[in-house]
Amino acid sequence: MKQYADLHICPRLDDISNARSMANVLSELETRVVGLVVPPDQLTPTPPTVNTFMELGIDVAKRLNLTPRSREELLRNLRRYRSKYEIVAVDCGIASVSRVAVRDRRVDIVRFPKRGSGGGFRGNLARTCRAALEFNMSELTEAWGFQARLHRVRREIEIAAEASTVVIGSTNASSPCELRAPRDVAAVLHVLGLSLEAALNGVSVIPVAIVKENRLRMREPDLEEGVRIVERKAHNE
Amino acid sequence: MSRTAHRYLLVRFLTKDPISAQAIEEAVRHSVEEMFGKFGSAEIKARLMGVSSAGDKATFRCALGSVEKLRTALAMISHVNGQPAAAMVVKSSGTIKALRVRFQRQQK
Repeated sequence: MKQYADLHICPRLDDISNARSMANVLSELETRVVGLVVPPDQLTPTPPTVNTFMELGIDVAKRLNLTPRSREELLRNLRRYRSKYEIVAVDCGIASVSRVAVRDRRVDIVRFPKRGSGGGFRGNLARTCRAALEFNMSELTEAWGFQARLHRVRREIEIAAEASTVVIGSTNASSPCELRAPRDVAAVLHVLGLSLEAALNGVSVIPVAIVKENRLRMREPDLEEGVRIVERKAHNE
Repeated sequence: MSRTAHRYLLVRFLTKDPISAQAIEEAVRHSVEEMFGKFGSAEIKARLMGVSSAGDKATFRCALGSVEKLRTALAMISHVNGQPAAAMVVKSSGTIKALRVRFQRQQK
């Protein structure tokens, strides 16, 4: 059975009742893994919201959203926080940040905000992109400029599909009414230009693999990419 | 004459206050037309089959090849009757009977 994931939810961390309502809806929608945005200053102790989701059998991965204003700031933040988070996403609003973020293997997800001088997701970025390009449902359900936003998202997905860049779908929900079924998010990705298989992988296989790989990396920080432990021998052997 | 094949979707509506069947039908029709136009709307053939007594779940029928389009239109709904709302497909099936059986099985 497919394990669905939504790697971008951002409820208020002190509002337990809102988190509980969201957890109930996610549980009903069979979402098994969520990426919860936790700012660095609230990382320890673990926010009670995390337990609210876990009580309903939802696996919570802590996510950091970075919005750096320069390449140096991005690199500094990655050095500082990478080992503390299961998911690191970067908002690419500036061209110099985009160029580094798409290539750096410490970045899991890149997003291209609607405004900014970054110029959006272009072909040259797509060809070198190691991170997953994220599409948020909130980009389309906001109240204004629907057609322009639809055009921009469609263009980004088209470029990603041409360059075989991985695309994932999330909701960016902060309340139950902003949540969507992962299967519906996949339908939107499909209608916007991805193949149905790639769209379904974008809400199930790929996000789950991102979390799994990063957890392994956090447990075994010395392991190189692509190396995994098959067996450990006892020290006295 | 060949019969058109359909697909049935059970949709959960999340709102603060209960909403009427008419409001649901209107919101879905508006979303389908905004996303795919009148031509797309005719192709999808979305039809409201029924609404639960609590007003939070509705069953829709659409043309077999247009399920993804109807799912997309439903995902785009953010307001019904001026209040924040979300529509989520809980189950989909080839017959309305199977949809009911699968939903009841899930509830148990």
